[in-house]
Amino acid sequence: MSEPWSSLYGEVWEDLVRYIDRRVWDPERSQELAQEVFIRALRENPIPESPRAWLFTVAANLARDEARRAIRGREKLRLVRAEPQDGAPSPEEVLAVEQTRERVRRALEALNEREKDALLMVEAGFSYAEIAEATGLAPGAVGTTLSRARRKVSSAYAELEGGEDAQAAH
Amino acid sequence: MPRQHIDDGVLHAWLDGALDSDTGAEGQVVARHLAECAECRGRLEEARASKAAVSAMLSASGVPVPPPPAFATLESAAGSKDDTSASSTPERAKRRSGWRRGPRVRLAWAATIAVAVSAGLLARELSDRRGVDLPATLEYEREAMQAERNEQPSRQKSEQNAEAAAEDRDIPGAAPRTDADELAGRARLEATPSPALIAPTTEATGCWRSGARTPGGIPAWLRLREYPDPAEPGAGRTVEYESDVGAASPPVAHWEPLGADSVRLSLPGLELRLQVEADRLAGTFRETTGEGGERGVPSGSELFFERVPCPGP
Repeated sequence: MSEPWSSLYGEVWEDLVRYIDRRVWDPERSQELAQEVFIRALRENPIPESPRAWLFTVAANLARDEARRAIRGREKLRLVRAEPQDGAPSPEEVLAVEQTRERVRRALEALNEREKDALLMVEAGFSYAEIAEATGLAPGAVGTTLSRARRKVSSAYAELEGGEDAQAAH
Repeated sequence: MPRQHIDDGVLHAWLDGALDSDTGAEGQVVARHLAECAECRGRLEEARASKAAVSAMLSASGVPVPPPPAFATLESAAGSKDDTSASSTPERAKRRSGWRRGPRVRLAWAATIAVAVSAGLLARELSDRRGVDLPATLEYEREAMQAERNEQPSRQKSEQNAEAAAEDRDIPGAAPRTDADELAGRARLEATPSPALIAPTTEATGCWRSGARTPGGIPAWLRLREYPDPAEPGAGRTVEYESDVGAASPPVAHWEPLGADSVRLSLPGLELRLQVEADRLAGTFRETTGEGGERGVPSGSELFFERVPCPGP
């Protein structure tokens, strides 16, 4: 049961972690979930027809569950975080990255689930045929969905940027 | 003059390279039209800009991804299903012995440890109940927790049989739900595996105290009990524990090796990922309880345990 997973592993790892992270917004947790995806893959029998698409579909489902839980738990208590390690980015850098991530996260909220799936999949290098299969969109509708998703996200992002700049000016 | 302009969806498909490979004929039509129609070329450029903006935005949000752990650790975590497949080629046998040899000792260790657990999630709760002054490194919003507890009184559950039956390795992290009361209040769920599952014949061989003074540490307490003759080294195990604050909740924990030196410990409503070292368990904490009754500890909270002498019975 090792193939095709072992050869896909190194190939898709980074894309898969990012793909999950854009849903759960927690890099460490995303890595854990990516491992979980592969563990499930190794137990999958028979091997799915499109292994790569299968991985990302399972990842999307795990990430959705995770994101729901994370939202609920977030506000109840605060944790005193561990000290930053040597060589870690400065607080300013961390803040800048976090601001960007927060903005992107909110911009993606402009999309419905299917649009988000299609967009994140195309960014992860999937073909339209694979996206159609994973999302249930008609093959001819993938382009239209992506065109709409890109428009919505980029305008939401621009609006958020504008809004924050305006706030900063005050 | 072209009769019909190209719609946005087709322009994006064109940009994404979907037309050449998928529908060659349509690709040619689009190419011809674009050559003739300035308006559509303009829209193509808009679509290109939109695609580029979104790609840039998404990649700006990407954090560095460290290389993945060795694939063998996942194979080992995926565990016993592998054994059921008929395949047994020399290559396969070689691979298996390859990854089994190294971690065997530790896997065996991990698998033979049934878990007796006490997760003292609320250090303050512990203080209240026992007059012990443990340092609390979590800043709880205590009132919210208290309110939650009051709303959800403890319910008796009888999932023990189900859990015993579900001593399976197919549902990683499938820890049973539990009450808010259990979540918040079990300051010291000291653990003794139930004879109903497997009778311990040895004393506890590992006792661990959390590094509670470390920033980010979670005060907690684990007692691990070793069992003789594990049927399947490397497989997960479900065990029972007893609580000294009553027996209201399903006293079940699941200890599942994730590789040569890490384990996942699933308890009611929470999960610990721990690196197993000689005198230390280090890792992250997260809650697993879904709807209703979550503790609200953020995923990724760090903690570690240090080996301590086991107290007497």
